[in-house]
Amino acid sequence: MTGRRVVGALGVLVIAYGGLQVLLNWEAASPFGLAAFLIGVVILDDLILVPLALGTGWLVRRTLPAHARMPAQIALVVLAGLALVGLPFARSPARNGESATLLTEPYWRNLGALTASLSVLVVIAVLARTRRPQRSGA
Amino acid sequence: MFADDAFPSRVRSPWLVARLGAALGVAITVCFLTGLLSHLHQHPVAWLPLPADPAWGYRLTQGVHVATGLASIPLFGVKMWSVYPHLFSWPPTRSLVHGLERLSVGLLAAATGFELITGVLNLAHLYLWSFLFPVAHYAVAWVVVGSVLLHLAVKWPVIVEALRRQDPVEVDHDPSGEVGDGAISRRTLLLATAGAATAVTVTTIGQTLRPFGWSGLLAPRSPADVPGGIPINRTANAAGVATRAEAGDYLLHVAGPRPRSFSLADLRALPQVEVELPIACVEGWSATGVWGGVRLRDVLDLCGVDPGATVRTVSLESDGLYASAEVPPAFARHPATLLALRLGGDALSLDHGYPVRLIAPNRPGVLQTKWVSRVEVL
Repeated sequence: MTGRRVVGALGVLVIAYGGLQVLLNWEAASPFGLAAFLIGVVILDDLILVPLALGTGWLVRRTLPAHARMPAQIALVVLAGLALVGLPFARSPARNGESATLLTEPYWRNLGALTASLSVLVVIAVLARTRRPQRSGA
Repeated sequence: MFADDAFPSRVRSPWLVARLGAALGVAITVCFLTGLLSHLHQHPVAWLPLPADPAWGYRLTQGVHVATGLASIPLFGVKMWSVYPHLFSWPPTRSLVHGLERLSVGLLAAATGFELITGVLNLAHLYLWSFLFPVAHYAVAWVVVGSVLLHLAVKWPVIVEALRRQDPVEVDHDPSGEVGDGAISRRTLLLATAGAATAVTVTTIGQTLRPFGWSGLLAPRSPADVPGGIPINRTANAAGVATRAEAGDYLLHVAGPRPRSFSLADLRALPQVEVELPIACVEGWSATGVWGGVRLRDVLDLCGVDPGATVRTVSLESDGLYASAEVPPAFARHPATLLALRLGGDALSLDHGYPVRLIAPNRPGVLQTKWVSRVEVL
């Protein structure tokens, strides 16, 4: 218990050090803008992204047959990760900015290609599972 | 707050949350240590001088920093999904300690999300904020680490028990990787999350690991596709230096006991050196170039500068976060540190820093001052 208290106290000190960095760099850290962004992160996660994932999961359960759900869910997890990284690059106005060497990939097309590839893998997995002989005792 | 069956998935469990948390903990530690190193490069402290060797050091550590941060995004997303029902636990607090615990978890989630989101948006040059990214990213990194320590202190017994516990029998022994109604199992979700992290890495790591250039479908930079192989972050136009850099009356002013001003012809008349050095950006991309020019230490010696002195390179750029950079003695005196005049055998292009730029080993690209006009002694 003492060890946990020490770690907890150290944690509070480290958090305070982070806060101190904000106070010492008041203008550059823009504390109110920073706080607003932190709240925005919570709103984005808790009110948009997770509910979107829950809704997608509900749709998968409602619309897909049982043997198709697992491959679809795996593909959706992978696709969500790729989209969260790729969409900011695809949407950035810096693509048409001063530097021609920034964000050079055709991100929309590539995200489409990755989605199509994952869809093909899902179809193959579902077909393989459909043709797989049922286990005895099932 | 919600009915018991509002979140029906049986996949959510301490077993899953603890394993996702452990993976995230490792990722956060790697990101924090590599980020701290990058901060020390940009804000050097006398009691901890950084070495100039190996030349690829910063390329490795910052490449790992950005790759780990990107790979953490699916980990963080699934972790947030797996603990989501706790957000609605009622009553909100059962005691002061419980309230503080919930507050610390909220801080951990918000701060980690902040680091990942601002990190990606910074790679995309989408500055949707009023703060200076390096300052805020650094300060909140400490909040993340402190919150992790606090979270570990509060939850340690639960975490240890969950990590020791086997997955429930009905899930663990299902060889198909799914449970009753075709839903994904905990173990399969964990593997899918690892797959997502791998997919993110494979599609972006080509920006610094050239063998993966072919798979860089989502890489923010693709050095292999850029003329000369070295991407450009800040152009001469954006820096407002194009006219002055090409004016033809360029002089490099070097301070010291015997201050001198060098024209381009003077610099070309000094002993010329070619070095192969990577330029490694804080944004995680890196590329190797063959740079040609004059050793910085040769120029400093001509001006009688003390070998132990830290110098500062100052750009023609009149303002901007990186219009000047400190060069500690280990870097200033390194034989591979050049006032570069050429890249790949050709004169520097304007956007690469014509007429003169600094190039040194093991150092962030933002400190490799372009359009150098002065060298000051600190």
